[in-house]
Amino acid sequence: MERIINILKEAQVSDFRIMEVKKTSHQAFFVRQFLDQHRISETVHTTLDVYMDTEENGQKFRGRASKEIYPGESDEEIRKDVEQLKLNASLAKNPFYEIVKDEKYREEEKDYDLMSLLSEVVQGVQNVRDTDSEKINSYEVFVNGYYYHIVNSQGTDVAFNTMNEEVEIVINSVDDGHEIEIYHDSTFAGKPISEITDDILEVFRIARDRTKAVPTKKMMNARVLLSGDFNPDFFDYFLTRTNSRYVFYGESQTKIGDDCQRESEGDKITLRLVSELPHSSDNMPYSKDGNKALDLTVIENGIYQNYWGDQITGYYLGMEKITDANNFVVEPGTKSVAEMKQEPYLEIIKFSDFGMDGITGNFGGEIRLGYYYDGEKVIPVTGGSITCNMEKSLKHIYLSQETKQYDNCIVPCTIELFDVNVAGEQ
Amino acid sequence: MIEAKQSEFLLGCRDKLKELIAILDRDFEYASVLATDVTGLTYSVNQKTTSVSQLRDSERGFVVRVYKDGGYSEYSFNEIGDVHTLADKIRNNLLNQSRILKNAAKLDTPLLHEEAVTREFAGEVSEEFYEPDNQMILGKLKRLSDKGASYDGVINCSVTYNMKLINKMFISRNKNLIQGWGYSLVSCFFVVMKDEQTQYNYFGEEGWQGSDIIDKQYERFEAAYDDAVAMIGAPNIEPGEYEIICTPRAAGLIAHEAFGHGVEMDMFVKDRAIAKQHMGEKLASTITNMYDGAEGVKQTASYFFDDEGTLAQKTQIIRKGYLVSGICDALSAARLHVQPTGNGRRESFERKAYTRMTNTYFGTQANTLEEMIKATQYGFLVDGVESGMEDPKHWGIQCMLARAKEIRNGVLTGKVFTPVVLTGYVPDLLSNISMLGTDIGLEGSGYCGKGYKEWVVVSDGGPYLKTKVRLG
Repeated sequence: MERIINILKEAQVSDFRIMEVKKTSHQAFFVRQFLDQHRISETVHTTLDVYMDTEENGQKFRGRASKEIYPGESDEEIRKDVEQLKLNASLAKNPFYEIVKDEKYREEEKDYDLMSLLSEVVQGVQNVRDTDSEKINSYEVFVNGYYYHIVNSQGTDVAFNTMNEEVEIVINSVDDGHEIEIYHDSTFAGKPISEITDDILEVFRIARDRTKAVPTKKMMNARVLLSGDFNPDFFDYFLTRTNSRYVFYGESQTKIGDDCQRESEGDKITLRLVSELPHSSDNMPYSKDGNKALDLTVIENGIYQNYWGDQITGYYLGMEKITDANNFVVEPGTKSVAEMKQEPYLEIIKFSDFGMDGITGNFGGEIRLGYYYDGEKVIPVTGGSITCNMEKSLKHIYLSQETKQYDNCIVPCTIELFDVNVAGEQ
Repeated sequence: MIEAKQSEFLLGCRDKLKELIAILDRDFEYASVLATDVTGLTYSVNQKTTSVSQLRDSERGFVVRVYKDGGYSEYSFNEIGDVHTLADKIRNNLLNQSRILKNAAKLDTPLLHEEAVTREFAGEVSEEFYEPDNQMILGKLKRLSDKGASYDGVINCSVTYNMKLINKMFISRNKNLIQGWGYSLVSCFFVVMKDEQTQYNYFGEEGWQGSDIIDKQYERFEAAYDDAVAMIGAPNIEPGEYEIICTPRAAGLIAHEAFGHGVEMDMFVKDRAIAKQHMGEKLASTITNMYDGAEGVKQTASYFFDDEGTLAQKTQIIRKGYLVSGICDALSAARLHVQPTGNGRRESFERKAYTRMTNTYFGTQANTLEEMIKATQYGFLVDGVESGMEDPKHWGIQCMLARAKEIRNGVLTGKVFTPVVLTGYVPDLLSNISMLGTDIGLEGSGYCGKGYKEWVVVSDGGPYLKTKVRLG
């Protein structure tokens, strides 16, 4: 990094930022419990941003260009890269903005024993025993360690470690000769191995129910409960609406102080960013711009409170505190899950692929597993789909009192929606 | 257009990498290395900012694959340094990890047998890939963004142009391959607001060409804008089964999700794809043909050899309605005792190779779009690809589409519904294909994941296609 900084000093750039990421990844791939292959990846990636300022009619402009400086590049190659970056940055003439100033933070590089951790996580999966009806089809385990070092020309110098683990698993379940599969992917950091095992046993239960599922019936104006690992995506809508990039570029019209649940029935949404959450894979103390991760209320009782985002668009919007969104917590609602289940409902546990469009607010997907309660019995269902819009849904919504952590967020276990049309068998 | 140059970086590494493989060959029964040098620029212009930056997919690195005691392992890195030190590091790390994972029995995999081949491949690229006129390109994009922004209610119009040069080299005891090619991609995305409602639309084009591709987009705004405005306040469709006509883009999504993922043969190894039990069976209407291949078309997922050093092919998946072939990476092919089809692809040199689609598309027949509309009593013309998901185990399919345009008594009524979830059972959907158009349209700006990760560039498409399916 020192070598690059010296070359940049000679090159008379207006400003610069260098981000060096040392990444180590250990990976194992299994088909059933047989080792398909294993991998190790050890890389260093150095990204250089060069900023060039110009002035026209008394107005200041700034351009930025970025490039990876590859390991092994000679001084001459780096000089050539810098000259090209200066040229490209000069062409990208934008209103002036400041880069992050004087942030200082230093963690020494940790020597994670990722090879042993890989073995432990694999053991967490192998602790699950196949049953007569459920079995592990295949799985992939990744354990990753990162060391970030971010330096810029305005005195920012931060260095920190992060790590995460990922388990992707496919479960088969068979009932009366009919076999189905459930796909499950989870990312986390430092979770107890027993919880990894428990998570998979929960997927076994879901898989078992799917084998007994009957086709979802077509329903108009149904009461639908969302109770799955897609619940965080539902609340991502509020993060998109308050992301400074979306706001600055006009893709979100959200204004601070707007009430997105005016004249609505039910629970009001409160969502807060939190800088640190136990076992989250997103506990980055600083953003890639060098901004400190902050706790911040994004929406409170349905009223937008703050934007979040990157340094450039945050500066353009005049944000006082600029922070990235790593982890978030949604406040619980007023009804228990049991209360929500007193009347007939369709509860969706798994979508084939849940889609949430943060710009239009459209959301939905095909139902892979749900439970239909007709007032007397609960029947597992599969197939069919729902298509909804947030603006309409927020007019009448309840959130469960119970909450659950999904990697980098804590959200209500169940979201209750009304007047939903369900595509299904006639 | 000129012949793509081979990467000086890769050529500069070649001797060291050959030496590395020679050293590893002493300790392992098989050793190979894939070296990548992917470069490019992304130019972005909208009504507020401009940028010129390195392409997101740019990378320079290496991945070694070795075989010992019946199992494969890999080591990815991006600095060679001293070859002997590197070889020691690879050997020690991989053998240590093998020891740590020794409790797991290995999946039975034969040793890869490679035919001896030394070849150099070069695609055609625009000269401007090597000396781009940045000012000219930004000027074209500014005019395009300004045109989009000139429409009533358009809040912002973002246009992006990518130039990507891909250079890869594969070396093993028997193989010595190097390739270079490149493509450009332009996309236009705009947000329109009317009556306090926001909608967006996008379009683009890609191919083995230069910035001329930008000029072709000016005339496409009108239709895209009309579609966006029509979607504002448009109702949801009443759930049900309908006759539909798919645009080439929507047809491509169906090809991709239906028998693209469903015939990726690494899924056969895991018994995750029902297609394994139905090879040779009739599963689509007799007018249906479907293909996948990095060879045969010049699109974003075309190449000369894959990330495992297998030469590219064009594979016919469905012939006259019959499922005739899957697509396969090298290790899955060895396990299944079949020949690989050149579909072993990696997200980057840091990731594992899987069986992946390349350019996937339906074949043509002789119908025009007008004939298809005329033949529809009540149905929809569906368009606007958003996302898709497959269930190869049960041939389930889900496609999220932006809009459905109503057809009544053989005429488009002008009524639009949005958004649209298309779901169905793949053999039903394919067996219901009753008409296919005359020209293939391929779209290659998208990325395809394996599950929810391992993103690779793919293209897909087909002609206009008429079938029957459930919409909601």
